[in-house]
Amino acid sequence: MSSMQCQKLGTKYELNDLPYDVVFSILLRLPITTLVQIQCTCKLWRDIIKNDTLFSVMQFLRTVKNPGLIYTLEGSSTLYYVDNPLCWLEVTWSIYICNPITGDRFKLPTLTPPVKDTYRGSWGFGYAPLSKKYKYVQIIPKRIRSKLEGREHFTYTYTYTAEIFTLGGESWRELACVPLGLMSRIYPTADVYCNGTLYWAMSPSFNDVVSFDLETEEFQERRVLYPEKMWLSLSIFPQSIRKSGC
Amino acid sequence: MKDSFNPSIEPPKKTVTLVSSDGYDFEVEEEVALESQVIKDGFEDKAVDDREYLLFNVHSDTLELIIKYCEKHVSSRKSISAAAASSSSSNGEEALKEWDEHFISVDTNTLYDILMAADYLNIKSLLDLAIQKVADTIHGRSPEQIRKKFNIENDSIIDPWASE
Repeated sequence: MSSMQCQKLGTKYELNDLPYDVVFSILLRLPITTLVQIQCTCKLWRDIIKNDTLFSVMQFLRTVKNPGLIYTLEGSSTLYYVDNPLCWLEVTWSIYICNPITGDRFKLPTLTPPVKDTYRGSWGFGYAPLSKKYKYVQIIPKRIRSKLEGREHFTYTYTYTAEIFTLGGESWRELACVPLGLMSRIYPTADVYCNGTLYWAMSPSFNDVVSFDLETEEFQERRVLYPEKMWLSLSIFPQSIRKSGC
Repeated sequence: MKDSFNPSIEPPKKTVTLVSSDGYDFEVEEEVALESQVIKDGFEDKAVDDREYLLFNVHSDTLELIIKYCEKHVSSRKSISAAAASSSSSNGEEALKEWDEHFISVDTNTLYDILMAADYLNIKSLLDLAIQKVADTIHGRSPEQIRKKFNIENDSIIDPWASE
């Protein structure tokens, strides 16, 4: 076969002239450590690795059996294991969302208005797979001091609000529907994340959990059966996702 | 490009004509052409005497390689299943893997051409092979080496290692 009329002679291809899907698939074959090193090769690669949500999801699915994806964080004795290794949460005095691939760190704005007379309530961080959004939920108990008629001492009652922050958004937003009965029974601790849903243990029995669907943003009471008695911790095992509360 | 040495096995093989972007005709066996999912889709709806495909994106040099790959895979599959049927031991799959490895060891531009064509024609196994080859080449190289090897322009202005 002669190639005399070869049109391509003299042209020099760039790897990035290939269709996006092909470049995407090539990068998908590489381990995370390599992706960290090569992300600055060019803008396109950086965009795929860092900003394409599908890439991070598929990268996770590919490496889901890799037991090395557990992060422990300074200033917090909790291991966070969100459905995606490209994002994790660090709770210290401020809330940071970190991306281990790029080393980027994003500080959530402080909750406004700062509520006095509160203690740290429950919180949770997870990924809503349909809308492809990361969300951070903070349940804020508020203590109300009141004096019942005919009583000498003050009594305290609690009311609850829940604020949600969507990554990529600018501010917190208050959830409209917060079932107070459930909130009062949540043990104030971090969540367990699994399949687009956050779970918190409930006191006093710990046989019930409160779930929060990150997609619909609704709270629900659920019953779980523990494999064994656990003290103040909640663990979920499907898909090798595992986390224990502090 | 007729197979002159093809011994006459009956029934006579049906053929398909593939036309490269630079106008060369390649006559290949039907089952070889059907390795491409794009050709396979809607193949039955086409009239038998109209089985000609104009491949505007595939140069004759590349098409020759692609056909070589598909022919090898079709014949290897046959011999592997024949060996399995007669329950005789065969290292056909190993040999094919080795053949693939050798086939894809080409210069960068040829590799791009194969990737383009495999993507265009949707030949999954070949696309996988070529993608893995590029990924293996990237692995273990620094960004600078990668840019040089794959002819990538450095348009990244952000240094990810810079501290906040």
